[in-house]
Amino acid sequence: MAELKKVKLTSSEGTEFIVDRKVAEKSVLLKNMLEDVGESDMAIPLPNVTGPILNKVIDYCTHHRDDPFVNQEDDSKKVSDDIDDWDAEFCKVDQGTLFELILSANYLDIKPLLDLTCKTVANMIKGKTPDEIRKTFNIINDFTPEEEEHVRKENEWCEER
Amino acid sequence: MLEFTRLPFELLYSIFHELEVPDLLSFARVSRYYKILSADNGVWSQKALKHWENKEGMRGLRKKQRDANDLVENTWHYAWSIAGDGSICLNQNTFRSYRCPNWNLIISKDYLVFKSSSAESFKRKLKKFKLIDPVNDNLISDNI
Repeated sequence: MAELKKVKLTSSEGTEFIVDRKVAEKSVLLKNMLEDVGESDMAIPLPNVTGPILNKVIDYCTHHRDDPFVNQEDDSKKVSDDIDDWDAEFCKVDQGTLFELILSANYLDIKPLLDLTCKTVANMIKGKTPDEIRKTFNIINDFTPEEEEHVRKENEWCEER
Repeated sequence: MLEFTRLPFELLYSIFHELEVPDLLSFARVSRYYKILSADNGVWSQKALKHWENKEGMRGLRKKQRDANDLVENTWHYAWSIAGDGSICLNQNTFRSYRCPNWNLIISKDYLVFKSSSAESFKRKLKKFKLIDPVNDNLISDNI
């Protein structure tokens, strides 16, 4: 009978998390590490992931533990509106947390989480004017008025929606 | 708190991939830095590929032929057929122009292959030849 194996993960501050191996293996990075290391009780250090973010990542992987593996090329048809209710609720976090989740999903190689968080950011951009985007993400406009007009004209072929 | 401006390019690229063309162009107007990043040929070739994959004529293409690098490398494939009156149809539109100053056209058994000698970026090509027109969603305009 298959036994439910556990894996220890350590966040950047040294906080230890114990998770089911199946949950940990949603991360391709961890899956490969576990395959390389084999049976071991040693905790896997994750120096690039803080405890609160690792906690969120584990929540995500636990909820999606039985989802089929997503092939790198499978998702071309998906659009940014394809976010289910649980995932939408999961992404209702402050911007700092959302960007940390993007970095962690990339580092841990969890493609569905990376897609979800990138889609969430994309949805924050959609339909906004350049000025609204600047305000949303605290970006400084360093164009001169002439440059700004030039870029606007360059892009006006697509302005009429 | 980690800010948007600290996200590395490869991750911004994933975000750009989720944006439609008008939103990407709005984003290009935010600052000099994002104008440069969002003009990346890789971003635009993926946009074009995604757009064309949804076109009727492109669905018949084998996956390996729908290579974004081919699009960047100035070679574009279209499925074609012959209508009842003997004219060539491209994505269900009659195709009349066989020659133009910017393109070489090769007709193979299954596909029309356009080759452009232009070294312009893909974004400029899309604009210049109106291959992506969000208002009038035609793949090929008559002025080619």
